Amino acid sequence: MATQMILAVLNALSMGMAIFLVAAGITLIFGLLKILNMAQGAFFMIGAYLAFSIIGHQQLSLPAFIGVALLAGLAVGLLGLLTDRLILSRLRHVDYHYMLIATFALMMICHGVVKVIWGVNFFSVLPPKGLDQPLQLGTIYLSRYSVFVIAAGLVIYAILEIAIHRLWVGKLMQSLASKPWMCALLGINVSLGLTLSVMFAFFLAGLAGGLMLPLQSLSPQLGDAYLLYGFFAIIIGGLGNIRGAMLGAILLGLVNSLNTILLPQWPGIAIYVVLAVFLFFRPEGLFPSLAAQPEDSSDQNEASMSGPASHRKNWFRVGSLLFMVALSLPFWADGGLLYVAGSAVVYALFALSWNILFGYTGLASFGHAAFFAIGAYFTGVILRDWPQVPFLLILLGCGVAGAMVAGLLGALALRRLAGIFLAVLTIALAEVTRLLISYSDFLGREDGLVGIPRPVLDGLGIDLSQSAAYYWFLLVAVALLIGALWWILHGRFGRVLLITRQDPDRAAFLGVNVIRVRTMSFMLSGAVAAIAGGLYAPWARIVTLEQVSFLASTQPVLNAMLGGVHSFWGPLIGAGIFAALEYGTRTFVGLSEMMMGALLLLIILAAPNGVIGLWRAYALARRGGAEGRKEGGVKPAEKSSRRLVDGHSQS
Amino acid sequence: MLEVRDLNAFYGDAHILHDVALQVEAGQRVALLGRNGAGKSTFLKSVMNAGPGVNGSVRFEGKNLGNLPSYQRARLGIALVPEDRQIIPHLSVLENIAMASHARAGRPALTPRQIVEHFSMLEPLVKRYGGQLSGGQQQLLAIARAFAGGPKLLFLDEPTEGLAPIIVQGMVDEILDICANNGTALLLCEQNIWFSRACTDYVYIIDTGKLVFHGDWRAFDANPEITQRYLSV
Repeated sequence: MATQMILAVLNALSMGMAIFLVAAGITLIFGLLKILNMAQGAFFMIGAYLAFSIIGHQQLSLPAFIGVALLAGLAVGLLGLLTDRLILSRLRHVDYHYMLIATFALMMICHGVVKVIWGVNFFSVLPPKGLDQPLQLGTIYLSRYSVFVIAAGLVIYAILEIAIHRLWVGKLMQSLASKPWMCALLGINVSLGLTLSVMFAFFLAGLAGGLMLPLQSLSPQLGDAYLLYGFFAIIIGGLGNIRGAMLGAILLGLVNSLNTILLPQWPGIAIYVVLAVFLFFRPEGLFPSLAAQPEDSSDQNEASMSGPASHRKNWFRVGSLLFMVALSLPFWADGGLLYVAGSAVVYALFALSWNILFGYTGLASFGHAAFFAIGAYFTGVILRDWPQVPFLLILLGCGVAGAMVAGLLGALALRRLAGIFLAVLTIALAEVTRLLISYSDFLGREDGLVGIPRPVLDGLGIDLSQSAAYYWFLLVAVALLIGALWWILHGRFGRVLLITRQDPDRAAFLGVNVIRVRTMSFMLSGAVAAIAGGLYAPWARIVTLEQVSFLASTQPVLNAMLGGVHSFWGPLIGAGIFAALEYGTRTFVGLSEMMMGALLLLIILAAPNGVIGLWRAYALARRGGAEGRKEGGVKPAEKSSRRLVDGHSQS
Repeated sequence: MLEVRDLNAFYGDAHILHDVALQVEAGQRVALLGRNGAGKSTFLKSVMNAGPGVNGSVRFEGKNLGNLPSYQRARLGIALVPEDRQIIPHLSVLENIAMASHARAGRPALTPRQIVEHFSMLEPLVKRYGGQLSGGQQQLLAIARAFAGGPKLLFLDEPTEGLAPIIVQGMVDEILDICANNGTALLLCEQNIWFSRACTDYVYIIDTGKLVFHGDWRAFDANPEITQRYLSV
């Protein structure tokens, strides 16, 4: 028993060190740039893959092994340079959600690149020579490699602590983080300083990937797990400080290790429970760091939700025409096209649900697929096992379930630091949903639900089992839902949401209960997403774990960004365009993650207000209005100057 | 030394400064007076290229500064002490001062120790964190910090704002002394006429983004309606 405990602690600590190294990079970037780098786990993974490519199946000596890890770190550091120059430095002065979405897109690209280069097989690497033999302490045998990993983690931790708190370079970095504008006036090259810091954080990720490589087998899922654990470590330890990241990481390692001993049939679940407990009782973390509180930024993007009113009539005509075309589809389109169109209708609703949160309330969810999957599995199971339940009631149930889960999550995440906590928690929700489904025989584990029957609308006696019939039902149901949402969002509730997005502080002064409004918006969003999932299950007739993947969560983000987040109709247009693109390029599915990530990144950098933003800018420019310059794209120079001055006058 | 011509500055689409022309000679001390919102701070930030969008010509020691980023302007020897002081809160007083030596670019400059000795009020505070100082102490530190970069030209943006009169009186001598000892020219943006008169020899007056007067203090006194029209509240 004692032996088992010691081994468990040793495993916990070595896992904790790996988490710490990812978390340290995230926390450094967060402390300096006030952004959560969602791609940190992916770069950890790339570091591991690079090291694997060099090492292969040979067994290196310890110095050579460390050399390879350093090399992987350097390579990833250079990727950091590229990332900073191409992406981060351009987005330094826009609303932080765009930065979150950009790093999320970067993560998708990394996943795609890894799959394309190294494939989806599992690899493993031998520990270096001398560390593969167990270490004998009395009657106990310990893994020398685990001891090495723990020592390496502690050494890196010590170096970071000393550099940040004792050396001039650390003081310089802290100054850059807190007063970048003034630092420039003191003769410091701020942009270079930030780039070097980002490179260093990436270097850490790559180094960790190399050093920890023999700890576990290498697969494209490696990055996700460490990204989430890294985030959790930071949340538990307190945002923006190294010591907290270390303690949080060790705690997570211990929890996970206990989980494998005590609950071997539910691996990886306990961490989420611990996280939820921490968020509830100590949302500011173990070591709250005042210097690193994220600003609850008001929206810098002055694009408004409503377009010029004179166009409304035209839009209505275009909309009616499109609806007619969609209605007539079953008469002339083949099955494949009809399937794509029906899915696009569902995804349009899904994207709209995401944009209730982002476009109207200014909060980004990165795990929206969880709600969609909850609705889809709920509907799928009931249709399979209890076909006598009326379908409309099932859909209502989806909505209630989605709203309840969102309400619960909102209660955890929206109390304090809304945006960033919500981002992390929604990812966690998607992940925990995926885990729970994969452990449940009832929900089909990895295979999903197959052969979901299509319903009959009882009271009306309408049989929806034919594709055309269900398609029409889908179209009408989605149109009605969209109409209802339009009505809700263009009334008082919508206006309250908009002012909380634009300036939460001022909204609070006006008597708006910001937390409650945000939670309600999140619940509405979750409900609509779940209903979209509920509509989807009988249409596709199969629901699998893919519905909870990162890729699935990117879908609504991408659609909304593509169409334009500052318009009610943007997400719908985006979903239509994306479906057309997907239908046109369906032979490239293998590259889907890379493509989606790249497309998302391109939109954020070049046209953050999407197609509708471009259209509005074009319409205004054609009318010759000087104000036309405002929309359509973030002009870096103008934005940055405005933001710098804002930052200056506020501090 | 500093020669600004046809300077126009913008925040987004808002046109803030209109065709401003201003000169400061080496070692000269000049005041720029104007009400709140007249464009004083915007002018200083424009010269530093630290905020507003700018067009027009800014020459420093004969060299056109063009699009030079603000940190390089600081390294040329222009130091701006902003209105809100921008003290780095978690660095000590001495470290705050040392941070400015990045602007030295090889020029001789006072060491942080020497600077603290000059500003005697800071001496007992050297180990304190910036965030623990009072407003007056922060203002003094902000001015002191500028000298660690060995500036040839010092911009002070409303240094007396919100300070007790006794501290303001003490500041006059400290500023005059340290500028004279280091041959530093001064451009002072102020609303306090008494303080400006004590510190400078030449006055510009700015109102809603346009320069409306320049001359020495005698010319200023000869036109009492100027004070009435552009400076009284």
